[in-house]
Amino acid sequence: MNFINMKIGTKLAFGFGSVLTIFLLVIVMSYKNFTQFKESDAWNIHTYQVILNAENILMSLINIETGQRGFVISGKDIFLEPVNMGKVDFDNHYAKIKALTSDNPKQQERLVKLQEVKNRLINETIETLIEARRNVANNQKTMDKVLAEFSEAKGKALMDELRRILDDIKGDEERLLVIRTNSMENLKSQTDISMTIGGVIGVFVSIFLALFIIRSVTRPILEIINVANRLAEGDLTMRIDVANRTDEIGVLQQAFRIMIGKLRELNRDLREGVEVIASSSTEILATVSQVATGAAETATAVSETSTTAEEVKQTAHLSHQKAKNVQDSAQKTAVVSATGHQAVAKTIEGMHHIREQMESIAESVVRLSEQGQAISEIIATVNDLAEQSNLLAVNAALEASRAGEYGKEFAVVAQEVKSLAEQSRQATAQVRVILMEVQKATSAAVMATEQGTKVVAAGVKQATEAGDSIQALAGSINEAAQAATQIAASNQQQLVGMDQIALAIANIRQATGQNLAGTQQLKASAQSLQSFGERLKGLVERQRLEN
Amino acid sequence: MTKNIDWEAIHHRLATVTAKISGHLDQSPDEVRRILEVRARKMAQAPAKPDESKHLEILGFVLAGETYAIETRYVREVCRLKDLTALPGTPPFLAGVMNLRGQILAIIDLRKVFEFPDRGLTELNRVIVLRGNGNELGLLADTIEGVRLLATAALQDCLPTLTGVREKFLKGVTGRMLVVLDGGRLLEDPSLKVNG
Repeated sequence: MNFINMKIGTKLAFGFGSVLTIFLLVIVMSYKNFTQFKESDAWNIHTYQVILNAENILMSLINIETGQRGFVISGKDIFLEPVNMGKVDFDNHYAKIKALTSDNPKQQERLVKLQEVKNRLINETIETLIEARRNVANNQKTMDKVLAEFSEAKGKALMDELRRILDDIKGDEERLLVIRTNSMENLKSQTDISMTIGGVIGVFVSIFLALFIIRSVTRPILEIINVANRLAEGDLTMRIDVANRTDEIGVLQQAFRIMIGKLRELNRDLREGVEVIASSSTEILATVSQVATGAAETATAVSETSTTAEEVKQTAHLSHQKAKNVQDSAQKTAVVSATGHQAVAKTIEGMHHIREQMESIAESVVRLSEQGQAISEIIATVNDLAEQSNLLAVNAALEASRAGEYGKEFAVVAQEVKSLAEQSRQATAQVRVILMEVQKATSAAVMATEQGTKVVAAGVKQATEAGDSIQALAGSINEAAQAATQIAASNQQQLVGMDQIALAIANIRQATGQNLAGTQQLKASAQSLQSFGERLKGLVERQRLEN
Repeated sequence: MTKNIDWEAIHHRLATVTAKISGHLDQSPDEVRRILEVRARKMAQAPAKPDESKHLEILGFVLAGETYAIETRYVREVCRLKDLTALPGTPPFLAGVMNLRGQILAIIDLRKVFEFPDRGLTELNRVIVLRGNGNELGLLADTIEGVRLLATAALQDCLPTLTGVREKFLKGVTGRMLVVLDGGRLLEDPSLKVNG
């Protein structure tokens, strides 16, 4: 089985298991050794207890001895206390030691011996001496006897035996102690060695396994972590190498690969979506702005319209009045037009009369002009005469100068003739001028009369036209009167309609107000949508899809 | 609107005029005689005798806007220009010939003599007949002013600007730009003579 493809749990289990096994081995071994240590320790305690009890037994014996000695010496009962206590203690400790060494027959033998000896001690020495002393107190015995008994030191021999036994007991125990200690030493060194070896092995194994597991687990995980970090930063260009493992890491890699692929897809879709959102929101914003502007304009327009409606209403009233006026006027006009017609007829008659007069004037004027012409001819003759007279006068003067002395008076006459001729010339010149004027005047008069006739003709025409116009006017006025009646009627409807319009406009105004508020909100929403879209765009664009 | 015509006033004016006209035409013979008598008396008075040595008698005339004069001793008469016949092959100053009561008279255009450029309208319907030294010729003129006396003191020598032919025929100039021609020289000058 491919180690790599093992599950991580399994790997870890394997690794930990190995370590654990080693560990357990070591522990088991240690436990065993420790148990042995403990046993040995317990036995040591046992031993020490035995030794202690032995010591205590000794102590009790010593106390007995001492007490006894004291009593022997003093005879006071107070010294019997330690004796009694010693006995009790001895029994206690003896029982204990007996129990403790129950497994050791040798020791039991010794203990039996001990008991024997102790009893001999007590009975043979202690109690006897005490009795003896009492007897002293009771004067049954003398101190010296007592002392002599004491000095026999039977007790000491027994005591020494007791001591020997106790020492044996102790010695036995101590030997056991030594043996145990040695074996424990061996065991200890064994334990040390085995633990060291086991520990070293364990360390190496665990290091090896750890490294291996780390490699096979941590490295790909670090790789994946790296990829994840890069993903977090938005770099979707990472690729996860195909390791073709089937353990959890492999599964994780696969999953990551799939995830990255999906993320890329998602990102692409997002980008598209965000583009759409961004552009749509911009369009919406623009449209909404337009709508807002339009709504504002509508509101203004509605205000204006309502004002206009009011004005129209006023105008309708006014036109109603006017229509009535027109009706009245029409009636009056009918009367007037009849009168006018008559007047026109009379005017035309008068005009004809004038024309006749004009024609007679023209006649007279033309005659006048012809007379003027006659005068002109006469004047021409007179002028000619004057000129000739002038020449004559000059010639006369010339002759007079030639005539000498006599001619001088004649020269005067000639001069006079000349001056007369001059005067008549001047006069004729003046007459000519006047004739010119007269001619001009007659021409003007003729022209004036001609104009006059023309004017009269025009006047007749105009009068006729006026008559026709008056007729037409009368007809129009009638029509106007009828129209006015209709206008008055429709005005009523207009007024009603105006009221309705005013109402409708009020409604519209309200609606546009709401509309305006709504569009303002919409604009705000659109703006926030747009900004959001921009943010999204920014977010999405942070993630690189291609390097 | 034309102003109202005051027909009464017009009638009144007409009446006055009519009266005047008829009045003037019917002058009584006594009135006529009276007027004539006044005139005759005036004329009968002897005129002041002019000092001949200090005065020249001249005939003034207008030609092309300029006023000229010539001494009356050279002038025979003045008359109207009629039937001027142009002669081909004659110098330009000779305007033509005229039949004056059976006499053929050469007509001189002074403008051409003095070599004035032709300008201005002229009536040119008068002729001044000059006579002297057995020669006669006619001068064209627009109008004849008349015979009068000119103080010789007023006559100045010719302007220095006038040279040549003009100087020849000029007697002098007055302060008022009246050019006095020398009739004698005009009559004598062979260049003006026409063999005819």
